[in-house]
Amino acid sequence: MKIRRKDKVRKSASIFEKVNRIRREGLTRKQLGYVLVIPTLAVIACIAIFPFIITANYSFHTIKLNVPQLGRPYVGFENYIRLLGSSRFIDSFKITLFFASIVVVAQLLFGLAIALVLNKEFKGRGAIRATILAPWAIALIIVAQFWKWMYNGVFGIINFFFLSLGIIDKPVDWLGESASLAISSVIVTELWRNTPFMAIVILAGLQSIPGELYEAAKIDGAGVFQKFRRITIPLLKPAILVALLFRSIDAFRAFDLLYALTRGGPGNSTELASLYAYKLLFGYLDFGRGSAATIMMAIFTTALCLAYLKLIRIE
Amino acid sequence: MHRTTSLKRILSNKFTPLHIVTYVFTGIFVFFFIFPLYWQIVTAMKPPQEIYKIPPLWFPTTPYLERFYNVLIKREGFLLNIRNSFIVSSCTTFLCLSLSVLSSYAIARIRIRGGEMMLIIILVLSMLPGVAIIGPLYLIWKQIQLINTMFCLVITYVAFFLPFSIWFLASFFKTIPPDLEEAAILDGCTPLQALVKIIIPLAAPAIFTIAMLVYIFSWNEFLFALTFTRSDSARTIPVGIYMFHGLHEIPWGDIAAACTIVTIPIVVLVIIFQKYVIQGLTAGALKG
Amino acid sequence: MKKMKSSILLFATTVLVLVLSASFAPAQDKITLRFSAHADQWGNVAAMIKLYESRNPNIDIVWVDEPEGADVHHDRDVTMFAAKDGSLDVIVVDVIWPPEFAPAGWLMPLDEYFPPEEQKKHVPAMIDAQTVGGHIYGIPYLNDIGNFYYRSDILEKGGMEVPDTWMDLVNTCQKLQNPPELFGFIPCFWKEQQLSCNFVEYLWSNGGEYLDKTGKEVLFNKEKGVEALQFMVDLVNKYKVTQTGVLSMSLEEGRTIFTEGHAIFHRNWNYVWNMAQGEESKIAGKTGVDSIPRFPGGEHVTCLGGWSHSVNNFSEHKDEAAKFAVFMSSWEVQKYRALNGLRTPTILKLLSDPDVVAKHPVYPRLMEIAYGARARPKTPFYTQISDVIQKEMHEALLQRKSAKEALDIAAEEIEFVIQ
Repeated sequence: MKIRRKDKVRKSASIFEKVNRIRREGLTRKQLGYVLVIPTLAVIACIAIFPFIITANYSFHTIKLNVPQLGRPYVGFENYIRLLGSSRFIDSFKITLFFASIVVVAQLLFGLAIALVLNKEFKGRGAIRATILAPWAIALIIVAQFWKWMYNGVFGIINFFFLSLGIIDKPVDWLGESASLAISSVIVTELWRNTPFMAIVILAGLQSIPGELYEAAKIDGAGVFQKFRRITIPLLKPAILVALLFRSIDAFRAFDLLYALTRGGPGNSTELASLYAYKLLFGYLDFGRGSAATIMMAIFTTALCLAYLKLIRIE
Repeated sequence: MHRTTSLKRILSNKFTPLHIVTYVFTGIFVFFFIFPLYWQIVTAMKPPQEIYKIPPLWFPTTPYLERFYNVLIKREGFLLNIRNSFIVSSCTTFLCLSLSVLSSYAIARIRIRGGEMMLIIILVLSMLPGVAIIGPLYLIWKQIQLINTMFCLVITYVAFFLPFSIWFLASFFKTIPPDLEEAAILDGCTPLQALVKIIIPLAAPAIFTIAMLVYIFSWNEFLFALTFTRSDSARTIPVGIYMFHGLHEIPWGDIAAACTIVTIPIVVLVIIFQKYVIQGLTAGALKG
Repeated sequence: MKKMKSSILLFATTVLVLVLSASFAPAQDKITLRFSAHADQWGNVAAMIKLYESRNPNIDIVWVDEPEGADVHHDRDVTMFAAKDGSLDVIVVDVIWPPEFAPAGWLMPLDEYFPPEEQKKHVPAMIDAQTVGGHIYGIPYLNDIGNFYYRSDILEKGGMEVPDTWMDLVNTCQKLQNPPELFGFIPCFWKEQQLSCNFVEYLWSNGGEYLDKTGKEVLFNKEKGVEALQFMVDLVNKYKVTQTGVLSMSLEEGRTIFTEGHAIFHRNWNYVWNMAQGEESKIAGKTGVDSIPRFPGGEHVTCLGGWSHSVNNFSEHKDEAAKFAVFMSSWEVQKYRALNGLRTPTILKLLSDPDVVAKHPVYPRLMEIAYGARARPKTPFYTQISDVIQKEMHEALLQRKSAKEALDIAAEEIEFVIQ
């Protein structure tokens, strides 16, 4: 442990002796470490933890903003029980799971394929890389507006594109004809918007695989697919897992896109849990149940996150 | 160490089915990603009568550039929105980077006790849906009179992007061999100096990546920006564009024009940074 | 070494200071009243604000514009009220919000400033909608009703009359439509408030009712309601007279189809009339407006829309705010806006005022239709009820459930809520 001088002492220490020692000799390395994380912890505590605790508190009360006469009585787990018994809530969770899993798997495969292509050198690679990233740089709400226009049943370009290619024989209502079509269309938009991120992360991972490994394998007579299986995939695993982690959580929380594209319709076939929670809170003014819904979402994403972390540890 | 496949090699193998598939696939995905952007720009430039033509025109007959003028000048608030987005994104990125570099160093190098646990906790916290905290958070900002300022947006965003940045940077820091640092400390550097002079340059690509990510995330954020801001002097671009909608009218042309204006600088930014990042990653990350 | 460290520190401090100063600057300069209203492309609101400020030099009005769509606007306002935020003094409210906001104590009662003699001058249905528990909470300024627009040229060419009943509509459409160049009828069945507005028109024109008089019992799943919904389902699936995308198109997208000339009939609010005659429309001079069709044995009704000015009960300047709200809904302002824009006034006399009629010859006809306008149920849970119904209606429209089933499920859930 090294003792070093430090100019500013920001931390007010717990024990008198520690304070004196710091005053005399400066912070130890370890103590410096603690100091460095304080601002971070402070910000996160105020912005994330504290409001979350308030929300959790709300979830145990009945809070209907449009009926203030009811007061805010404590009701224990009643909000949770009602939600778990509500088919609409269960549906929203099911839809969220469905949406998230398809999106994540598709993005993984699609992103991997793109990354493999971009890994090779060819003319124009830089330009393609840059333009690929463009969708991901656009605000979700704008992406949604735009795709909604393209999906438009009467004026949309997508109908005409497929009509002229002969793939369909009459215009289709991509966002409303049926539940499955609506979800598929939303998934396509989501893929358009977020696959580039996956591709770039995987690309970075690919680029960090030493070339000698491939050379050596080639000398040993390995074919393309063998190289892929034995070298690429294992070494990519960490990058993939991290990317998967963030993409899955994001897919669970997806809100902006769906709000603008479908509002959860038709029916409630694209109503993700986050949409339903938002509706409960600001549409129905039911802060009790809405908070409970968000808490349940949070529990779920936490569990998912921990599961992923375990997986990453094992690697 | 670059992993290259020279053009010659590709050409000599050009009849492999794999290569054909690759080219076709490349063509398709490039088209898939670029077409909507193209369509956006084309719509922005179509004269009003042509936007709704059935069947749609692939190209405007005459470019209608007046719309860009309308969006930037006639809609007075929009330029303000652009300015605000710049300020908010820059401040968020700067603060987030500063805090996360310091914290990642503490966790990954100094290995403070409980560092790993901290990492997990803040990561899990960052997974919170925004909906879960927006109500109480609004209350808090309102109580301290900071609602409708860019400050509250900056701090909120920093809190949201910190966990991811710290996680990313900490993982990256861990891959840097400790010998360089130890050598520097033996030479008489303080840990902070070692951080600044050794770690940061080595981690430059990762830092740039995070900077780019955070910048873009805060540029595009919508839910909090919508809820916390009231007037054009604090609004950011996504909300600004959303406000183009009148009570009944959706000006698709204007929206497309605004999107085009806003997308181009971001794309330029991305072009510049991504070259750096990929180059840096390949050059810097493979010291051993 | 030291130099770099200190220059970094200096840089960091400078930036931090800039951040704080740039962002701490409150987004308002001289506030007295903050007024939130819709974006206004004719500059009327700005002009009226200037006028008010010149008459009341001690008052400064800051105009804050609101986002599109009643739903988003609603959610924004709720966030504000839930935080007891009085930063917006005067706001605009949709006709269905006072029953929701007033019992929660979020709106200021305006009986003092807007007495019954004044109230009588406005469209009765709107006054009724703003009155909750015997007090009035909003001063109407924008009148809106559901109208039935038609292409007079197409009807003439086809030798058909303006349909009186819904089945007339279907017959005319099936005879004259030619998708995808020309669709028959464009309603608005997207999953938002508009769907509810459409639904009540079918319901009421069949003689059905939404809730009973006490507001505690659901009536829309009785026979008349089921018939109405079944008809809507048939419109889309059996008779096929609606456009592709009828279930996913917003109000504006549907309107565009009509003003681009690709539809014969359209149900929409007042603003479409002027848009149809505007320079970007392809159907100028070829349209007519009439009452919405009815079912045999029913009456022509229409859904009441419209907006009012209300005062935030948490405002710190309630008196001034109320006076300003009264001003913005006054004869003077409404006339100005009618002459310089497209917002239909709510003051009855204005609808037949010669200057106004000269500019908008369609207004007297609109006034007639307006007498048949009914307000949606005044319950604090209306948003919730409406949402539940929309969801179930979509299930029926998608043919995943039968009309009766859908309405029964909706009724059950709603009854639980309003008990």
